[in-house]
Amino acid sequence: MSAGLDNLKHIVVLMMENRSFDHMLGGLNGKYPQINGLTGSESNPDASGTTIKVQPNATYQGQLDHDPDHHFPGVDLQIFGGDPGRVANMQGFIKSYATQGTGVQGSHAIMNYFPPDKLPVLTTLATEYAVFNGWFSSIPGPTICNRAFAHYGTSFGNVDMNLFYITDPILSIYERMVNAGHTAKIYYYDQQSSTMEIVNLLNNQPKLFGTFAQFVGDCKSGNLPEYSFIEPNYTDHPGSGGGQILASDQHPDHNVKAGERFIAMVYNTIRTIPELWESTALLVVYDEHGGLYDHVVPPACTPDGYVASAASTGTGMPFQFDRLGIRVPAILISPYIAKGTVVPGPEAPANQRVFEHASIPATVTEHFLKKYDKRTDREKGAQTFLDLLGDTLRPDDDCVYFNI
Amino acid sequence: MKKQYARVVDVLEITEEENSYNHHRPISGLVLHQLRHLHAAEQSLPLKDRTKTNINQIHTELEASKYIQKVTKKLHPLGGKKKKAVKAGRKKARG
Repeated sequence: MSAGLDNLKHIVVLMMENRSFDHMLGGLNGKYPQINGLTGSESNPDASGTTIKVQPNATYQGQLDHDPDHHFPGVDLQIFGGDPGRVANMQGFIKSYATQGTGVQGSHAIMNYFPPDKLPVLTTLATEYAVFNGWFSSIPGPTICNRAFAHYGTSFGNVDMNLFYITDPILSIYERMVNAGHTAKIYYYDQQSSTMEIVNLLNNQPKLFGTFAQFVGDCKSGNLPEYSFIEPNYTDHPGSGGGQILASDQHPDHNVKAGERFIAMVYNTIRTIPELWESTALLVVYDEHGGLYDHVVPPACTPDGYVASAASTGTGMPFQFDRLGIRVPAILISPYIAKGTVVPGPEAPANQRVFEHASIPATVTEHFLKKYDKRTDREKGAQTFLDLLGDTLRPDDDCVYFNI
Repeated sequence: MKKQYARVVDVLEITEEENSYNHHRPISGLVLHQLRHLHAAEQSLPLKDRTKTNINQIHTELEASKYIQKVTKKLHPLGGKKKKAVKAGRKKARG
């Protein structure tokens, strides 16, 4: 066991919303060729058949006011490009975005990505700690079912946003932890924003929840649970004490800068408490790609034992949960991680490591609970990520701090 | 005294020109589904605690946040503990 793993007392996951790897981090490939981003030659055809290349023209807000399609049939088009032979080619993003009422010109925005200097927080963390070239959303579909994989290691057969009630013996990672005498909590931003895990957890297990203000307080008072999951703010709304609070989830078309500031705030909260900093691993990850372009074909995965019917997928075909969704940004942060770590993905078949959101409960279970059998084959087979923590504690002066 | 850090990265300010706060923004599909899930959860509350809100009449982020707060308070009371608000992104005085 490495010194980093030996010292690890807390795992914190911050899950943002709806941005693809290439959209947020693809621009890093120019300076860091080992990061599997964009070369500038990647393209998609538009509705008129014109080839449109990726462009470093993403804006913080206003460019994606038509929400890109990220429901199952839309993502299916994005991945397979409408190819009747169903060969995955990642050529359907512009075609898909055009269905959202953008017009032909407007549909090109889906190919835009951020130059690294426009996202100083995310790109600094990606290049200072460990960035995953192969972290994929769990389902080629929307938020709720993807977030379910982070909480349960499965979506119980769901591929959409609809309500589901859990009848299986599979417990959430929080319930598993608490039942075994460990501590775990979901921190939503505030009561006006609340959580996306309402029906099965907030309704039945309210003790598992806290607010972001409580997260900060728990960090400062030495009461951070062993496992914490943080949700950003999902709406622009007035603060309870006045003022205006921007949505920080980065869901299109919310301000991406506000999300940058929120990520920096979570990082700084941990970074500025020395004993917490040295004993915590922070994972920043996005729930799904939000319909935005990524060039990496999602790989196959271990099925989780469920089947979504043709009616529920909306594609006319059932889904066996045997392939992943589109790639998303994921960064693991700890002073025990070597600067500039890049975890290889499908671009390096000989040593690739493929992660998805079931990797989260798999990792937390492995670290805190050791043997725990009541989970899906999908979660049992998921890669875990704590081996990235090494023996060397980086000096304090070597680890960045964000000036917010 | 505030600790000085050796390596400091500036986070970008949200400028007044960007002026992106808009609680009248129509809700996204995500928030729409969050409303539906909360509405379903609300049905587990005693009748006297239900909001009797028609969520089909909720169209903006402000309207959604008010409803979400009402139901969340019922499902997850914070025990009367007043915690200092933490701001995300820009926070400015009303007016």
